[in-house]
Amino acid sequence: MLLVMTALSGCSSLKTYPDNSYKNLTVKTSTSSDSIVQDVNVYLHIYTLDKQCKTDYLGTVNLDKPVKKIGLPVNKNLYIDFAFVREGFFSQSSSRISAETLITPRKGYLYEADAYYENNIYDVTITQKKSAGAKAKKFKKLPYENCKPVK
Amino acid sequence: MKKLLLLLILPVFFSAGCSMKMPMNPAEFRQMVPESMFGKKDSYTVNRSLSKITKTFKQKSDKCLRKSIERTSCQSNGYGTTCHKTINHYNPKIKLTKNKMEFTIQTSVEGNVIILGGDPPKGGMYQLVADITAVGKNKSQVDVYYGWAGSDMFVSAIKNWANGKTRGCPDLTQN
Repeated sequence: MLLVMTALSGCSSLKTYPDNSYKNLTVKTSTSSDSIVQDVNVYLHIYTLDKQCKTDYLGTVNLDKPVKKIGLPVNKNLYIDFAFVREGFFSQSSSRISAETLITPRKGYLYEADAYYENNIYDVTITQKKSAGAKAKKFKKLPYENCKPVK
Repeated sequence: MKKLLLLLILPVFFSAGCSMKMPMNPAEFRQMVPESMFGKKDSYTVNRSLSKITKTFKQKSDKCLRKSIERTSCQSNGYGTTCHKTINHYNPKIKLTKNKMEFTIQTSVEGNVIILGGDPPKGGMYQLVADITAVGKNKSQVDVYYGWAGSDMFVSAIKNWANGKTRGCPDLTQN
């Protein structure tokens, strides 16, 4: 976990996620900072996973609007990381806390994530549904440790 | 280039006294809290059964608190900027006896850190000890012992979970 965290923690190598596929993930973001000198920004980092659970960074979406629609590649093992970053207006210090999950988006399925940060409490809930009119079901988040390398 | 040696000194709360001693178990931690300048104890009752509270703590503690948090702080002296990085590894534990749940959080710190008070116990320094005791069918007594600046996040989480409020996790970076 630490290795993953370390590998993902650098900000200098961020790139914009090349979002050109069918929009199957809607992210609703709500944040509020309890500090007048700090802001909370939310980013979604997207990685593919190979059979050895090695991550390949695809890019990052800045969740700077209340609702964003994103296209995740279907039938691929992904690791997605919602990063809540608190940055000071006047200092160079920042902090980052993450909610991450393994996910293999299924063809035809729609996913909705609710990313929330308020009063120092953060939360990400994800639901999935088979089609636009179908009933949404809770998607259980799975940490990176649940990825098992194929021997 | 000069090597930076002493980047961070942990303000171990019990170090404020003349003798510095690291509590090696929850019993020692409880005992040291009233003797320490920075030790605190919160006590309150909640209208929930011990079994429900235990279930909530089991659900939430690993998910929310078994984390490694990296911190970087930078300081500029006008000629350049120096950044210090530390990683805190949080280790929550639940121990159940007949009418009581003991909840502890230990923290080990990686980085250029000086720890006062001796070698920490296995699992890291005790940061918080909470005793939740059944005092009725749907009533439990909560006693939380803590020190250090920076335990407030855990104290709030424990209060929320004891009361059955389970949304989200505390942002440990704000500790």
